[in-house]
Amino acid sequence: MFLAKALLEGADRGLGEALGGLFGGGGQRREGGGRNIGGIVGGIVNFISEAAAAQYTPEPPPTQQHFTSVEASESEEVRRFRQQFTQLAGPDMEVGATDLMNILNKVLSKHKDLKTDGFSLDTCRSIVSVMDSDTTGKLGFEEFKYLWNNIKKWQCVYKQYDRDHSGSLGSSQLRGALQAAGFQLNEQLYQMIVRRYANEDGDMDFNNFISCLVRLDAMFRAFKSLDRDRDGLIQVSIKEWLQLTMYS
Amino acid sequence: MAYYQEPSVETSIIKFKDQDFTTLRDHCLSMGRTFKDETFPAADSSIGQKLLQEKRLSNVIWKRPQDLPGGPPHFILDDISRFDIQQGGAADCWFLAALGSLTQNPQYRQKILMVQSFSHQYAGIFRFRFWQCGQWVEVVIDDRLPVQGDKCLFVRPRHQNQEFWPCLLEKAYAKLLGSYSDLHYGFLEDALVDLTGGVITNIHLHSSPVDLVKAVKTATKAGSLITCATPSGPTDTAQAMENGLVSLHAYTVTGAEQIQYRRGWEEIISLWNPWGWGEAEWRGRWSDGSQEWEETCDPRKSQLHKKREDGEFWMSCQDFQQKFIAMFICSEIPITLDHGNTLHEGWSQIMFRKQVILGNTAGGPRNDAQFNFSVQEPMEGTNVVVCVTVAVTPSNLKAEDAKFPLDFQVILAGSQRFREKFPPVFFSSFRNTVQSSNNKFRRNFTMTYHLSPGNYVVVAQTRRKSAEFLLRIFLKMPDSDRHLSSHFNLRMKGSPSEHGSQQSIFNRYAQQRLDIDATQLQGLLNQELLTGPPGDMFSLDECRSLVALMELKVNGRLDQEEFARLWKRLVHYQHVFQKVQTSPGVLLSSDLWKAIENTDFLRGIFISRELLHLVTLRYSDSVGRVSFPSLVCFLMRLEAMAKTFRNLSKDGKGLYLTEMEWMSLVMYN
Repeated sequence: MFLAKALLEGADRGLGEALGGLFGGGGQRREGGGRNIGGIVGGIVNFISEAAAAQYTPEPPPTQQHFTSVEASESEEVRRFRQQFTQLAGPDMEVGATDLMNILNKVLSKHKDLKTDGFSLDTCRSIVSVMDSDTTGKLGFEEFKYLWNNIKKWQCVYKQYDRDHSGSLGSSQLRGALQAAGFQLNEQLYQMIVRRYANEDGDMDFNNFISCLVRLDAMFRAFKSLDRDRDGLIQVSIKEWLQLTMYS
Repeated sequence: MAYYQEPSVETSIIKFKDQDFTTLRDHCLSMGRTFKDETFPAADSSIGQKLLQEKRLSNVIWKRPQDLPGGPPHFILDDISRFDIQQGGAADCWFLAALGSLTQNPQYRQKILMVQSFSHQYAGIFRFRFWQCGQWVEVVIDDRLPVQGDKCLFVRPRHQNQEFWPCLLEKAYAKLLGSYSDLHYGFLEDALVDLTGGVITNIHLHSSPVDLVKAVKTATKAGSLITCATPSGPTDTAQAMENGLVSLHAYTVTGAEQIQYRRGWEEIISLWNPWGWGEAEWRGRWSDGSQEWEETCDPRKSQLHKKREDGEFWMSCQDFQQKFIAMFICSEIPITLDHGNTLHEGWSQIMFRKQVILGNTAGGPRNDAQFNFSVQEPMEGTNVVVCVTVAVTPSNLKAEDAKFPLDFQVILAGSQRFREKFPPVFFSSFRNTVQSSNNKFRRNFTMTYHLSPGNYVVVAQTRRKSAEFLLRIFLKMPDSDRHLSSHFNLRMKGSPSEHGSQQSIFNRYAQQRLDIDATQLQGLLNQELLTGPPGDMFSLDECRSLVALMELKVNGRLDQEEFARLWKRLVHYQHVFQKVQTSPGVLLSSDLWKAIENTDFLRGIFISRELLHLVTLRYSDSVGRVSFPSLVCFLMRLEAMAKTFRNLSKDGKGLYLTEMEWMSLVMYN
């Protein structure tokens, strides 16, 4: 999307500041993603069996009147966020992986205290995949808002637990950060995450922290949607398994 | 004599008619007189023939701006702007539209206008520079302007503004071309090139499917001048039509945007009419008083929409492409709009200056000029641009037709056609001139080519007695960080299948250790397996994923045996990529199923149509291409996930997982 690129390249200076403000904004920390029962369900749940899918039928597209009334009841912050999203998204009102990468890396460039190599395109494709509930390959407004609010929340956690201000989370800080973000992991899963997302020294920088938590959040929500009888056990067919794991 | 020239290299400035500005000004100052230019006198000859009727011509007097009513004159008031310009009695919209675009580009303004004044060291003398056949020419004028009843006959200052840089610049251009009459009708390309020395991109609005907003933004960012033209109307002269546009007229393009409108987006373009204040403006959609501006809720509404009769207006790109015939972009290097982001393309230039060829007389020997160049590497889209500029000489002013005076072709060196007689080549394109009533011909012509590697010859001929011209050949340069033209190749001494080769590679990157981590794997893959631009390389996160998929000990590292298994797959995937790709380095997402079928490691794995759709979304870019690293990650992951299911499923029909089992499986890959 050329418009988004032009804006991100500084054509609209206020945009970066607005996003930066949103990004750095304080406010109350919400409950951890794993326990966000009312939160928006990620794209992966759409691929469960037909019976279960009925429980998660997406809302129909709002009519113009509905859109207006929803807009009228939004808070000022949400309205401003929607306005920024409209400029970023372009004609189809969706954010693709390339746009997401540009947005994230632009905001990161304003936060020198976060150590990061930047978000790669493949990482952003993965984030879009796990957040994409209607399989358009892009994020709509609600999907993007959910993602963005999580990133803001997790950024606060990241800064809070980077007590030595090194810009990244050491292994001694990571466990606490994950718990503060709302994820209760057993030792085996914790070690796997360190192996997968931390560097050789066991430190995790910001882009890996975010992509890890986005995936954790999505996969925990997927399990809950698959566990229809709440017995702590799920059953997936080969077809469901491949769809869940390949589009992520 | 041909030589490579950097665009930024300044050549010496030619003094038009051997007039040196400093000498003449200092002489006048010392004598306490104002300058009178004997080479372009305040007489009918400077107006020229056929521009004014006899009766009107006899009423013309010449006055200096300080002798005109309205207060003391200024060369520039505050800053220059397109709104300083208001077209007068000459049909030189083609020049003024280019001038309007020039006011938006600071780099050219200083070069052409320089620092001049009606107060400091004023001597009634001014100077301007124009680009002519590869060199900048400085034109000196006095400031006596043709006036009728205290009003400037041609370009005039805006009401209540005594700003005279447009009038003086117009006079200098008239002197350069011969007279004010020579400004009457002309070609937009000629004005654009004369003001900048740049190269023209001609967009035919009715035939070429161009993204106008992207084109305008790209060109603006590159510091280009952009103008456009309407076709002829019912008569042979420019006149306002019902919709507010003027036929046979040139406009400046001043911007383009995508704007929010009725729950969607619409593309609009901003134009400025050199007729200036109070003159005809577009009356259709997105015009100044239109309901579209009332209805839009775009946050930029207040800064985009200016309701005033200043000659500038918006219109939809759709209307623009219907009502206008061509858009001209003039830039320092060619701007091709057929592939990707053109701002980072590099071009080299070959310049052949002051070429003179003799015309072919009846029965005489063939006279042509030949210029050699070569294309080294295959490239997408336009990769060669040939520009010819014909010199302005008095003999050219007696042109018999409006066609370009040169014929030229680009042919392969050694081609059989080289020896054949060339048929006359007529370059048909928009002309904002009427052949029957003007002796004009275009002085600049540009051709674009997509040529395969090889040696080529530009062959030029003329149908006149002789022609002096400048030839420029622009060659697109390969990306500096691409070594192999996007062909993927193994750079190994041994054959890919040799066991020893992969082992020696592993040892080199492991550096005495028994295993490698993701960072080392990334370096190994990007160095040994492929070369290409950064966007097509393995990212660190992709390499971490490959390590997780391939290793069994969950320690984030690959040992020799694990690496060997990975390498075997990578070599195989490379063959698959080369087999399935549609052009070098390009694999389409629609062919992803072919890649799956050709992959031995996926034998027996069934892929549903829904899954194929999902992985297309996941692994291809916005134009449906799959890079080699993406293909590797996809195939590796598919194999791993399919085998995980097969290994863990006790009954072959399903997996039964607790939450932590589920999370362990889906997080570590």
